[in-house]
Amino acid sequence: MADAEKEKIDLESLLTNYGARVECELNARLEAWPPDFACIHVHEVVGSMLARQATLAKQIAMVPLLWNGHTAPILLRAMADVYINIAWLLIDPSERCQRFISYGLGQAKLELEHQRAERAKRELTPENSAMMDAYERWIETQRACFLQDVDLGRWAGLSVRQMAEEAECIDFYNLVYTPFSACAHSMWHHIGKYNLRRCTNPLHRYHGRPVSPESEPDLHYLLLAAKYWAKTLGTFDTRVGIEVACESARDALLAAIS
Amino acid sequence: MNTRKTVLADHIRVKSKLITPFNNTCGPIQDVSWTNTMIPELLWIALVQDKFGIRRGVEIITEFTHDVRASHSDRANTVWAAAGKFEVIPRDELRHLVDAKATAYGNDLRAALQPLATWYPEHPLNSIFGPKQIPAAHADLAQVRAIVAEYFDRSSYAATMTQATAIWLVFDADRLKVAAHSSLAQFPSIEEYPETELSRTVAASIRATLNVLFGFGEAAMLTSGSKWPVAFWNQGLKLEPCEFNG
Repeated sequence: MADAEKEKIDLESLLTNYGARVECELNARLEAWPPDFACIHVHEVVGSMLARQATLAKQIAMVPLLWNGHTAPILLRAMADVYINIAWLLIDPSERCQRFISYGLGQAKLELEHQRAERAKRELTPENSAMMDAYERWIETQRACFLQDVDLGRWAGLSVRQMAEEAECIDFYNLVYTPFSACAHSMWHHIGKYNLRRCTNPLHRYHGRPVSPESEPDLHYLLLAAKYWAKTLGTFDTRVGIEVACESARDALLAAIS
Repeated sequence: MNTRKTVLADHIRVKSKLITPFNNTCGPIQDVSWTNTMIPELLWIALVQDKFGIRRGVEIITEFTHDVRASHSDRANTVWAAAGKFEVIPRDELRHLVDAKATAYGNDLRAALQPLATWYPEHPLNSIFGPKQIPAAHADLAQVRAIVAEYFDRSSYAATMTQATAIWLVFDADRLKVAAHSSLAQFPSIEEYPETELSRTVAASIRATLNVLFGFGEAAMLTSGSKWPVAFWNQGLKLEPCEFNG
């Protein structure tokens, strides 16, 4: 009992330290890559994308209950998305970041219009009305709605696979993004493995019985998140052209558990 | 029967894009940003008006720009409203010009623009000051900060008066003619802003006209192409730390 309790406390401090190191790594990049108003949109897009990757890495780390094949791949797929986006954006940052923003604003405008159409059918509460007004203001502070086109296609004008090819990370797309997409989109080759249990009764034709099983946390998923965070930083540093002397959160994590 | 209402029904679909009616009619526009470009370019006018009030401020600015226009035939047709325009004038020449009119407006102009000289070394009008180091006063930076904060609201009283002054300089340089029935023909009514309907209409015309004059192409007579606007915002990052509420 005492040993088990000690192990739990060690894991907590391990994860807390990991989260703090991720934060340090992010801050070191932002320090080495200050904003420049000549292209502030690049800093805002790529910087916030990097910060999101840090958030995902930390939040996966802090919730061991998510370290299983049912949930972790959803978040890891999101991390793969961020990685490919950053790698692709940084090939031609100014033009691509502008396109990224414009696409996002168009989607926000479309979402707002759908909400308006829905809410037109019933009376708005003051809270609903305030939320929609705030959302519209968020768009309008960046681009007047009447000037904002809405793109219903892909934000980059390319498939993620094409983006990965251009960004020279097609292996990452094939081996990480695509497999984890099965879980994120609940495709047959995910649910068939994770949410069906084969009945062994020959009289039942070995059918699959739907199940929602409990899962033990698997450290493997934490290490994958740490790996993708480190990979993102590596690509960011190379493309932006900075060198950062900062202890690697992933290296520290690996050292602590090995 | 499908009775679902389509959202953005007024937009025109072109391949995967829904184009706004405005963009569909006028084509994609190249826009100029009030915040990014016009605030830094017109900040010197704002500071003069903040220090000496609207009436005296306009006097100082008008006399100064008259003298700049008169200083060389190449400068006679330039509208000296955007700070970046002054970069083409040799530093010493601009200083001597202001020295020569110290009593008329030079001393007042320097007094008003001291915050820029102190805190923004790249401001194009810093050349009106001599090489003597100006002691940094935090009150000056606070003044710039307060003005900029107010100017984010482009239709505020102070921002409107600064924009009106910029348009006045266009008229004064004889670079703008307006039809007798247009709002801008009622330009003097801007003094009543925002109290009267007419003044608000004139203010809207001033903003719209500035967008064109700061825009692109031949009509863009206020555009300086200077690096000053970017330098202004970058300097702000150096002068004060980020602030986050909540």
